[in-house]
Amino acid sequence: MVRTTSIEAYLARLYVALERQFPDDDELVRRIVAEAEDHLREAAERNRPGSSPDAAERDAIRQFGSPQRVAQRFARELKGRLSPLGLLVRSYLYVGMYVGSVLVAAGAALLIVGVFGALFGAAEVFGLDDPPAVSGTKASCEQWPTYYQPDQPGTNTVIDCEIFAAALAASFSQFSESLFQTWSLLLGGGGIVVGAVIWALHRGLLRWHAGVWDDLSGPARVYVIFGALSFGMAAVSFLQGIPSSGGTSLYWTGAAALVAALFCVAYAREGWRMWVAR
Amino acid sequence: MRPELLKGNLDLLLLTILSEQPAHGYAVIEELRARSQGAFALPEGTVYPALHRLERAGLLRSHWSDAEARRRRVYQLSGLGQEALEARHEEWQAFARSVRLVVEGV
Repeated sequence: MVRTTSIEAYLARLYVALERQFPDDDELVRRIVAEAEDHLREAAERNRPGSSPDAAERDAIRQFGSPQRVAQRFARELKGRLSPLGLLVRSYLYVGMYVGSVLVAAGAALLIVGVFGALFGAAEVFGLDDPPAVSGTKASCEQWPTYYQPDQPGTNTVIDCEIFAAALAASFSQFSESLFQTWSLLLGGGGIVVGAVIWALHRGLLRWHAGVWDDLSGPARVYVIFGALSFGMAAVSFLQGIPSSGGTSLYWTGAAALVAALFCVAYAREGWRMWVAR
Repeated sequence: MRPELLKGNLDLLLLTILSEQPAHGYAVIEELRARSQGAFALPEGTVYPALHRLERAGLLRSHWSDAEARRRRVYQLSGLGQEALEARHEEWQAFARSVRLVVEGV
């Protein structure tokens, strides 16, 4: 039975760790492993006087560092310094994916609205069209006396059916508006959720491609600013969907702007920190 | 010595050692340790990434050598690396002089 030495086991783990960092560059991985093997065998030979072969190999490995640490160091040194053009292109691709995903989420929501509208009648259910013309008869008016209060409060008598029809149309319009706000909530909320997921994925992707987060270069910072802006826009969309009445709408608009601003400041701060750390 | 003190100067150290003669990674690390009298005993696996980075930047060249019992990757300074070494050496001298002025007043 062939005995596996400590160095061989270490090199196997190093290969796996490097493969994770450089999945598309097998030549580089093999070169690093070959250099590591040369180094470890040389170090083990030098450690051998006074030590057992196993102990000498273990010492050599300890001095070299863990496979994960070595692989991460390579990633930091080599991937954090991609050519500016390469990282620029890659970052904008990510921006496109990010913004595109939010748009897809918005489009999907609108599609659902359209399908439901086709099935149940857009005007009656979802308020996408103008409310239908209301023409009430005396009898139909009398069925809905509470929609119109005549000049004498306290009575439920319908005096003028035309006035009642106008009141009903206005009521329908309010109802439609309410539904639209509901969809804004869903749309904006969905956009935020999708945006957050995509943001996390992209952050991971960038870390994977460009090494540790602190080593990202300028174009990646452009990406975070774009991410912040689109995330902020989703937040605005969400908050605008919250029903408001009277002067409170101003508060909601202000809150939406505040949320967007906070995101922008947070990401800009991170960008600045990365810039300083370079 | 705290590792962060070495951060930013590792390139200068590696370029200096390789400016004298081509060497493989292990020899570079040994030379670094010997010349610093053991002060720069870095985790050895962290030196290779720096060598690779310097090579990618065009400051070093490398090739496989079969001259010894084992096949080894030998690094040597490029023309661009020589220029970079001179520039960084001057920067470091100016920096060290300034630090000494502040800390020791001389």
